[in-house]
Amino acid sequence: MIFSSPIFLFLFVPIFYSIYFLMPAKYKNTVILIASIIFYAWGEPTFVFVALISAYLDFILSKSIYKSNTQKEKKSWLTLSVILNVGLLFYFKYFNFFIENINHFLSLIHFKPLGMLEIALPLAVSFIVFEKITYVTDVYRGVGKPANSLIDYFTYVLLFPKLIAGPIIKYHDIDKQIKERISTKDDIYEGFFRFTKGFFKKVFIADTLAPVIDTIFTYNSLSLGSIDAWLGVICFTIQIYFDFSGYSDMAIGLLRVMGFRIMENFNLPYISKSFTEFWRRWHISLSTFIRDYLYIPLGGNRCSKFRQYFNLFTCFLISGIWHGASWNFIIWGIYHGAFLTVDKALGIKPQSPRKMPAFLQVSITFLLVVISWTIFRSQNIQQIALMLNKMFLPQNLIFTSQYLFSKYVVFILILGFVISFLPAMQIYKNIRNKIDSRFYLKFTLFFILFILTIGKISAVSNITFIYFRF
Amino acid sequence: MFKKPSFYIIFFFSLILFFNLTKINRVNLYIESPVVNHAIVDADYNISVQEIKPTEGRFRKVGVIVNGNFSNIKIKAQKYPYTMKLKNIIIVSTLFPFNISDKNLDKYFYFRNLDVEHQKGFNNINFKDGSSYLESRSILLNKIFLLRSLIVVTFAFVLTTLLILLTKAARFLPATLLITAILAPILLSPFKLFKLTGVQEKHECPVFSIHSFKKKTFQNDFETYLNRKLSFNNLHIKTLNTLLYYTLDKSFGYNQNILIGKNKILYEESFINLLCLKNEVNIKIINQVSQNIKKVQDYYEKQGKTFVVFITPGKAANYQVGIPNRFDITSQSLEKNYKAVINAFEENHINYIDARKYVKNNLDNHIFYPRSGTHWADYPKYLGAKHLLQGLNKYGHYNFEDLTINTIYKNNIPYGEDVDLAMLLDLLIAPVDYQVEHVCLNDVKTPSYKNVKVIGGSFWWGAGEMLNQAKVFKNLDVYFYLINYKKVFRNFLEIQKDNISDKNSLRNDINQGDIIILEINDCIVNLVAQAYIKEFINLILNEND
Repeated sequence: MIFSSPIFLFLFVPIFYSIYFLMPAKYKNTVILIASIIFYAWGEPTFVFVALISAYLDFILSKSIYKSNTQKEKKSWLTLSVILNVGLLFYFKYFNFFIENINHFLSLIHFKPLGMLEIALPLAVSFIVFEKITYVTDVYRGVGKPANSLIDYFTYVLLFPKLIAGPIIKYHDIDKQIKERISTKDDIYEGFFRFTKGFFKKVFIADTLAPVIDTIFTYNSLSLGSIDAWLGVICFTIQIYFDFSGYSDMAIGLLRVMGFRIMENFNLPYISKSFTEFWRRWHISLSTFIRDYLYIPLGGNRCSKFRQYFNLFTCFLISGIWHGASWNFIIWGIYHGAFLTVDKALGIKPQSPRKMPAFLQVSITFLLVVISWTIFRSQNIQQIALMLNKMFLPQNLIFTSQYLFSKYVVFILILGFVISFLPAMQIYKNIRNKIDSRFYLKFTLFFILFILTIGKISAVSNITFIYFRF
Repeated sequence: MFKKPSFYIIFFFSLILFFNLTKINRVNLYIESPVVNHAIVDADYNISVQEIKPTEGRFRKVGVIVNGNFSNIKIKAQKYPYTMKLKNIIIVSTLFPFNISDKNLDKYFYFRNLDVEHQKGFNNINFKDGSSYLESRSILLNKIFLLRSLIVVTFAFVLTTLLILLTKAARFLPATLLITAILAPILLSPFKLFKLTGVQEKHECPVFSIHSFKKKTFQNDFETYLNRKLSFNNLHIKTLNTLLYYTLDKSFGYNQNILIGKNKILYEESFINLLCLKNEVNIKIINQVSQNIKKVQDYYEKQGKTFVVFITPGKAANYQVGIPNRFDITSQSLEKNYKAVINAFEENHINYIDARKYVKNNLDNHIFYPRSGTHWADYPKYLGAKHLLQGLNKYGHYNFEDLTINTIYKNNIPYGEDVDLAMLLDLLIAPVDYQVEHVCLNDVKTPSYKNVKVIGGSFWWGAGEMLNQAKVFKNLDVYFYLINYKKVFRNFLEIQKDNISDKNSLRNDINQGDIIILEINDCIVNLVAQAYIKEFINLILNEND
């Protein structure tokens, strides 16, 4: 069940929120839990049981960690939990990729290949696993206490707005809200505004560009021109941002209506002046996770420079692997790791002043990020090579995909760019403040957007979220 | 509330608003006539015809729309002696439809210049001199005036009261709107308030089972079923489509397969994509299919029957002025395809009737395609039908009369096929204000009793309409894309639709024809893009797939 589907908007949401607001406070978490299980089971009728059992095991293990008296014992339980979680992720997501590569090696030495298993990748497995790891690790570190009740814990793990594609929330960030929260009229309206913003971004911008990108990325060497390649990756740059940030906005909006306030997940990433800044603006919950649960345990900044660079590089290599079981994701992770390492080596920090004009810094960073998305979106190494070749060694001026760029698509692409960059400008902030101070105007604008977006989702059939395969 | 001046100010403006909204803008006359396609139309009186679904029997129900003063409507018969039945009249304004059934017609209307015998009552009106006046009695005007006044005052009062109350309750409005937007689609789903144009596959509510839930088939089917049920959302779809149509030349109607081109000329985008193909035409397949068509032709000729292939012109191949520049049509694949097909037909000595070539050579300044229709316009349909008869005379040694035009005129009121794409855009109001041509033909002196069987697509309807209008074939059966039914035309009227699912029955039915026509559109790539051609060949030659 995706947020931009009629069944979610017109069946699930009215039923859930009606029951939620009618229930006394002590039962609200139960309502959320039941709704979340239904929500997840709708998309994963089999894996939901695996998720529940796995989450229950972590609940028990975290209790064991909390009750343990010795550090050694605590570490054992933690290790067990991490092994189980990573094992789960490895089995469902990476096992066949691992076997595939082993088979490739075996074929080189003329050995019989190993058998592959038919394993379907469950939705949101990466997000669920990462969140459970944060939970258990935080209990181990003493950052937070384990949940008082199983319901509270399961509510945290399966909280449906953030279940499928994040943000990755730490338990101690919302434990107080899980125990007690109030949903005011302002929360409901702000939640609606935030949801509508994400709804519009996802449905109008991301979904409009999706078929254009899908078509361009099927072109072979003869059909693909330089213009096609550049437009394809630029469209993808916009699509992935609006798809993912749109989803995050919807998640944050839905949670706000319930009374939860969670961290932001995106903060205008394309205005970044460096890769370091980019990762403080893009998928913030993931980069926070990487920092807190990978980088720091590896030593963080408290080691030699070489070790720091190694840690940073390794973290982003793992981040690449997390995104998908394919070599292009690994290369993407390495690419980002490399640039972050360079940033670190050169002492480039977001707040540090530089001689280069800001516009140029933003442009160069944006260009390098666009190249990274080329790697990310490509199906395999051959396609990466083809795309980059066409982008940087233009051979002809064919424009095979020209017919895809109708007035509507061009408008959406330009709108995507405007929305990506305009909020950083003062003029936007002034207009925004004026609108924010006029409730009825703001409501009217968002309501119209909401209605028009409903029109679109009703008119077209399913387009799934990009991050659903993670 | 009544003491406040604002009440009276809002009331005054509401009166003006509803006065304009209840303005009578047209009259729909519903009449039955024996004319196959169009009722009496004469553009000089600013009358036009909208074709509606025919009823059984000799008379076909049609609607006549009169723009203008309804108190004095002129109706002129184009073919006489002529009989029509006046069924009912609807006086139309936005808020104020006023229906007068045939039982009450003589209370409110009377005819002038009518045959004396039939002056009272309207069930059979015989036109002897070719024209008549329909005049409203003052009783009707008084009645309408009273009713309209009542509506205007009532609505104005209600609106004014609501507005004043709403300003007091304004703080509840956002929540109300939000809850309505979320709840209305599901609560109003049983009422099917708003419909989209076009055919949708029927989806029943799936039956839940653990197995189907595990396989996710239940979820997919249920979501599809629910999406169909939320008809209230069709209003949002139409609103969005209207906004995008006028600003960005876009609509989500018809699965986004409508291309809005230059000057709002509409095409089916799938055919434009065929036009842009850069693949070479597959001569081998075309030859193979042509050889099989020749076998079918030989099979019928041995039985003394006439078999012809009728080539109709598609919009994408023949009317490219509206195609946006972003489409690279330099390959002109459809043109290459057409030439290859003609060559193959020539080489295989197939009896083909190239309506496309004939139409293009004889079109002159007439309209080839309506702006928002995917099929050919009236004049090319006439030319196509004319050339078909010429071809049948040539190949079958018949002596069918030539078709001649009785009336031809242009106006801005398209209907039927001329607006098919416009309707499929699914806008709030279909953009149907563009020039079209209407052709009425003279009846042939001697209709033919030959059994004619046509296997073809939607382009046949236009040519068939012309043949029926001119009363050429008394017995005509059409097998539309060879989907399990045939439409039966007897005495130039569609009388029924027969389901034929059994292949043997279908073959036998077709083989009863004296003349068998296979209609092919020139947008069929390699002669295989439409499955019915292959199915027809296999069916007649009794070959398995």
